[in-house]
Amino acid sequence: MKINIATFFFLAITSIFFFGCEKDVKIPPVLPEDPRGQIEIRFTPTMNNQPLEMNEIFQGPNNQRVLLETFKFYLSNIQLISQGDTLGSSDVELLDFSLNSKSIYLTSYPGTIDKVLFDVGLNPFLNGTNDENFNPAAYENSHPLSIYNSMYWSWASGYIFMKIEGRIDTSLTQNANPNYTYFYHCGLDTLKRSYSISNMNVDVAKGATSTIELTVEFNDVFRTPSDTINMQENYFTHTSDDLDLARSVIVNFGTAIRKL
Amino acid sequence: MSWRLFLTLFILASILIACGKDPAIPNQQTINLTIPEGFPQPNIPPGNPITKAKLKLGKALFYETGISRDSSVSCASCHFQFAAFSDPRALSTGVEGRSGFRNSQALFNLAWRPNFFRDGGVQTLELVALNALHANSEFDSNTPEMLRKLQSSARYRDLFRLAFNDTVSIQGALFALASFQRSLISGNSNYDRYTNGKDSNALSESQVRGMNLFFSNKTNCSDCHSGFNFTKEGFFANGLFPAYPDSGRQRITLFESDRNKFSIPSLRNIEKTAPYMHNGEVANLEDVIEGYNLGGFDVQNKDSLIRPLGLSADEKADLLSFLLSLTDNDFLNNQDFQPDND
Repeated sequence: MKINIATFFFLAITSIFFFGCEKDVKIPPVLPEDPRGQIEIRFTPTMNNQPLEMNEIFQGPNNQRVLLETFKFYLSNIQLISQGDTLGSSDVELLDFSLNSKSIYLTSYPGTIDKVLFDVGLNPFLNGTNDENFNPAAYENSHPLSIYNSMYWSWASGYIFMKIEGRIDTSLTQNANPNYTYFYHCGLDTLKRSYSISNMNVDVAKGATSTIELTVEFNDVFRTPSDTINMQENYFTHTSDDLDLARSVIVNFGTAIRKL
Repeated sequence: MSWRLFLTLFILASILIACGKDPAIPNQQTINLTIPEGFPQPNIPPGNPITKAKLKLGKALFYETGISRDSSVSCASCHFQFAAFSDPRALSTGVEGRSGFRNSQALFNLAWRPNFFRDGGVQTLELVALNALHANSEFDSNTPEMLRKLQSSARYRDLFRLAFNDTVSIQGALFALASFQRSLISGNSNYDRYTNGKDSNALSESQVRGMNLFFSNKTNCSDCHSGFNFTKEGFFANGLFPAYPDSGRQRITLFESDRNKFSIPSLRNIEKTAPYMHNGEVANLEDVIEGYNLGGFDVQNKDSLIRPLGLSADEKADLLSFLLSLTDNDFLNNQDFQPDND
C-alpha cells in the first residue's frame, strides 16, 4: 500500500495524541468475590454516662464548669479477635470528636468478634522515632498521620497521641464564661499503652456492616477511684514538662473506653 | 514555510504540550551552594535538592506574614538579618504579642547542623518551620489554614508551580523553607580571611591574643566551640544560671542526665546575636565572658570544663575582641537573603 507523506504525518500526530501520554489501558482482572464484611467501631463521648457535646458547658470532674473544644487521639494496632484469631485489623486510626469523627471502619472476615485489642498512641515505627529520614509531610492529607491533622509535634519529632483542649470556669460563683485554658498533649513512645475490651459478641457477615459501640467517659479521663486530677491546678502538659500528669491522663483515657 | 517544515514543527509542538505538564524548567535544576573555604560539604537531603525556584519560594514564605493566624508575624519577625537572623529581644513574640520561652536562635550554616532547636528536638530542617506554624506563641495556625491561604494567592500558586511543577502543598512549603535556610551560609569574617591566609592583617594584635586564649587550655573555649562552625554540636550544661526552670535537652529525652543541657551554638556572628543563652537573659558578651570566668553555678550535670578561669581584665578584653572578629558583614548584608519585590 502506498501512503503519501501527508497521510503519514497525520497518522503520526494522531498516534502521539492517543498513545503518547497515557499508560496502556488495562482490563481489570476478575477478582474473586470478597468474603469479608465490615465493622464500624463507633465511639460516643460521655460525661457521667450522658452524651457529651463539644463546645458546650458541662459539669466537669472537679465540679467546675468545663468546655471541651478538642478531643483527638490515635488508636493503633487495632485487632478484631474471634477465639484467638484476628478477623480484621488496622494499623492506625485518628478519632477527632471535635470534627465529629467518631467512627472507624475495618474490614473483617465473617465470625463472632469477642474481643477488640488496640493501642492508645503509636509504636516507634509509626511515630518516626529515631528515623532521621522520617517525613510526616509526605503523608496524603487524608492519612491519619498527615501533619494536616495538627497532631505532629514539630518540636519533639513525634506525634501527639492524645490531645484534649478546652476551658474551665474558675470563678468562685461558677457562673462565668469558662475562660481558663487547659490542654493535655500526651505523647512520646513511653506513653503508648495497650488495651483490650472483651465480651463483645458481635457477628460479622459477608458484605454486611456490623457495629461495635464504645463510650469514652470524660470523667474517667481525670478521675480514678483513688484520685482526681484538679484541672485548674494541673491545667496543662506537653508530656515532657509534666510526664506524670501526661501518663495519668493517657492511662486513665485507656480505661475510660468501654463497651456501651 | 513549506508544508513539510510546518508539519515537523507541529509534531514537535504537539509532543511538548500534549502531556499537559510543563517542559523542564531551568529553575528546577539543582544548584550548588557556594561553600566557604575550609568548610566541609554540606548535608543536603537527596530528596530535597536546592533549586533556584525553591530558594525563591522559600524566601517568599520566610517573609510571609499571611501564614500566621492573624497575618501579623512571619519567620522574619523573629529572625532579623542584621542580627544574623536571630532576635535582639530576649524572647520573641508571636501573634497577639504572645511570648515564647526561649531566645530565638540565629540562622546560618544550618546545612551542617545535625539537629535543631536548643534542645535538639528536631532532626531535619524540613520540619523546623512546622513548629512556628503550630506554636501558640508563634504563628498559632495549622496546616489546613496555611494551605488555604497560600492556595488563594496567585503568586504562591505560581511559585509552587515553578518550584515543584505542582500545586501548593505543605511538603513543598517545608522543603522550600528548608532550602532557603540552608542557603544562609556565613564564612567570611575577619577571622576567616586571617586563617585562610587571604589577609594577614585581618586581625588586630588584641584579636590574635584573644584567639590564642580562646584555643588555649586556660579557657577551654574551643573544647566546645570547635571546628569550622565554632561548635562541636551536642548538648552541654554550662551552669551560668543558679536555677533552670527550662530543663533543656531533658525535655526531649526525659533523661535526668540531660537536664539543664542545651545545644552548643556557633560563635560565628556572635557580636550580632545578643542577648545570649537559651533564655536570652545575658545581655552582652562582656557578661557572657564574665559568667564563664566566674565558673558558673553548681547545677545538675554542669560540665567539668566550666570552672573559675582567673582571667585578667586585659585577657577578657582580648577574648571579646577576638569574638568580634567572627562577624561576617557580607552575610549580614547579603541582598540574596532580602525579600524580593515581586
